[in-house]
This record gives sequence, C-alpha cells and structure tokens, in this order.
Amino acid sequence: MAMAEKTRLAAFFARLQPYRLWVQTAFLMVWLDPLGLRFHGICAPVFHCYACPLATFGCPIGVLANFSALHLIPFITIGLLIVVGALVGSLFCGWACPFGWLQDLGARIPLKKFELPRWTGHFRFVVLGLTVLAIPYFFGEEHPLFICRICPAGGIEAALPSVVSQAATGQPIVWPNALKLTIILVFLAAIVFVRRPWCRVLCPLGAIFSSMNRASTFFLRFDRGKCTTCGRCTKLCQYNIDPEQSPNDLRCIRCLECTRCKLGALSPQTILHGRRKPAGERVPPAAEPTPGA
Amino acid sequence: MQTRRMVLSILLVAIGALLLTYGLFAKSNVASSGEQGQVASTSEMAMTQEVARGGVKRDESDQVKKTYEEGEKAPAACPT
Repeated sequence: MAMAEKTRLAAFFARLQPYRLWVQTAFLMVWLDPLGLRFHGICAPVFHCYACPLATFGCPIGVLANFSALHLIPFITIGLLIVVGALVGSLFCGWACPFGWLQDLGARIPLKKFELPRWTGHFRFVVLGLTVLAIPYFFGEEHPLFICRICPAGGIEAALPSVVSQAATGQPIVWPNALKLTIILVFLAAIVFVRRPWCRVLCPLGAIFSSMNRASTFFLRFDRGKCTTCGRCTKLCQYNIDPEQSPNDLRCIRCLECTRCKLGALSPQTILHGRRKPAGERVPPAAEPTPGA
Repeated sequence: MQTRRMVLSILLVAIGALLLTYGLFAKSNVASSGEQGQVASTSEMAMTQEVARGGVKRDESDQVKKTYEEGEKAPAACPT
C-alpha cells in the first residue's frame, strides 16, 4: 500500500513535469484575478506585489516589511509562511510563483546562460534580514533600501502597469524613480542570461521557504541503491545543485526536474510514506555504493 | 532521519497554525488621522489591507496612525 502511495505521488509529478510552465500559467488565474476580487487582507504564499492592479492577495514580503516598519508582528502572515514551508518547502517557488514564471519565460529566450557561484544563494538571507526586517524596523518605510522601494516585482507588476494605465486614461504620468527604473531594466536583462536570478540570489520569500526544505512533509528522497552515479540528475538541475548530494538543498526551488532520473533514484515523497508501511514489507536500507562502482 | 523530519515538520505546522489562529483574533491599536486621533482596535487582516494600500503609518510618538480621514477615499496607489 505504501509502495502504491509513493508510486502515485511520483507518477503524478512525473506526468505533470512536462507541463510545469502551464501549471504556473494556470496559477496566474489565482494570483491575477480577472473578476476583480480583492483579498488584500490575506497573503498568498507567492512573490506578487499587492500594488499590481490585478493582484488578488497581499504580498507576504511586503506585509512583513510594512508591519516591521509599524513595529507590529504579522502573526497570520508568519503563520501562513511557516505552515506552507513546513508542508511543501519551496514547491510554490517552482510551480506557482508568478515572479518565478516570468523568470522562466525569460530563460526560454535562446541565449547563452551564465552560471552563478553557489555562495550567492546566501544573499537571500541578507535581503530578508536587512531590507525586509531590520531596515524597515529601525528606519521606517521611507528608507531607500526598504524592500518595496527596490523590489523588481513591484516595478514590473505595479509601477509599469500604473504608467500604462495613466497613459491610457490621459492622466499625467508619474514615472518610477531612476533607481526603480534601473532595477527593472537590470532585472529584465538578467532573466535572459541567468536562470531565475531573483529566486536564486535575492528572493527573501524563497529564503524562508527553502530553509524549511529539510524539514517539510513533502520532500525529495534519494535512493542510493538505485543510483548509478551517472550524473544525469546534476545535468537536469538548472540551478547548479547536486541533487544526489543534497536533494533538499537550501537553493532548490523544487521544480522536480531532477526526478526525471530514469532509474527513479530521486522521487518526491511525503513523511506518510514510510509510516504506513507494514513491518513485514520494510526494505533494509540500501548499502552505500562502493567508490568507483 | 524520517522520524526526525516527521517530528520537525509536525512541530512547524503546529507552530504555524498556532500563529495563524492567534493572528485571527489579535487586534492592533490604530489612531485616526486627525490631530486628536481616536484610537480604535483593528484586526490583523484589516491592518494588512490598510498596509497594502499605504493606509497606515507610524508617527514620531511610535503610534500607528491612519493616513486618511474616515469617509475619505483610501489611498489606492502603490505606497512606494
């Protein structure tokens, strides 16, 4: 029964994997509400600016930063982020985030992609600590390094549509300031040459979710017994991670590309998988592969 | 390993759910925008809504204050 459950989950994601971009696109119908429903009192577990004219929900990072500036604690937002992170880790980053979707689209432009050093992933925690929590708390929302003032999502999803709307309705156009325009241009150029530059280097929401990758109920299981160290999973991973060394890495966005391993050495799993297995069916842990095998 | 992950994830989900529940009932004091601002209790969801449109600010006396009068149209543009 447990084996069947694992197979169902793995098979489900294996079937869905080729359509990941379409799944992300479908999620846009949730984040960009064409019916005009606005639930800005609640945050969505994705990086999407609430100043976007079509935003259905609030942005959790914007709420954290603004509450920090008000010297208040956003219990609902923190609770939501912990629950989502503890359940699925950074799965939303890879499959549902509209800002990730935009970067995935940019990466489809067939130009040479540059690789970033692995240590750059730690900047996300610096961004979270400084621009989302410390700077708003000590200097308020007027500080130029307040996250919303330098956020490319705010620039692309809110400032640009606002300019277009002002132009379309004949109102005087209020242009974003030079810093924001520069950030927008640098970001748009970066997504063409680097895969998901924001997610990998700067996203504070990704930092929160991925820090729970190693403890979440949904995780990637690496089966050493099935691995032939062919290196296919490392080649499949577009984010410079070695899935066989660290399947639930801090920098993983859980796109699950690595689970396309033909031998099934990497598979998505939940904590319920091992628990439901009757004692008689338990399989002894696979032996470590011998060096050079 | 599996047991450690199970304990940790259940603990995290429980902490998150607790914070969520607490937040649903928590209230914050917000003063109205006038000179003699009247203080009213506001739920966190209402505060989040206000924050999303730049409707509240912290003043010099560390008090959270509305940026618009009651009955006035709330600021709708991007606060930044």
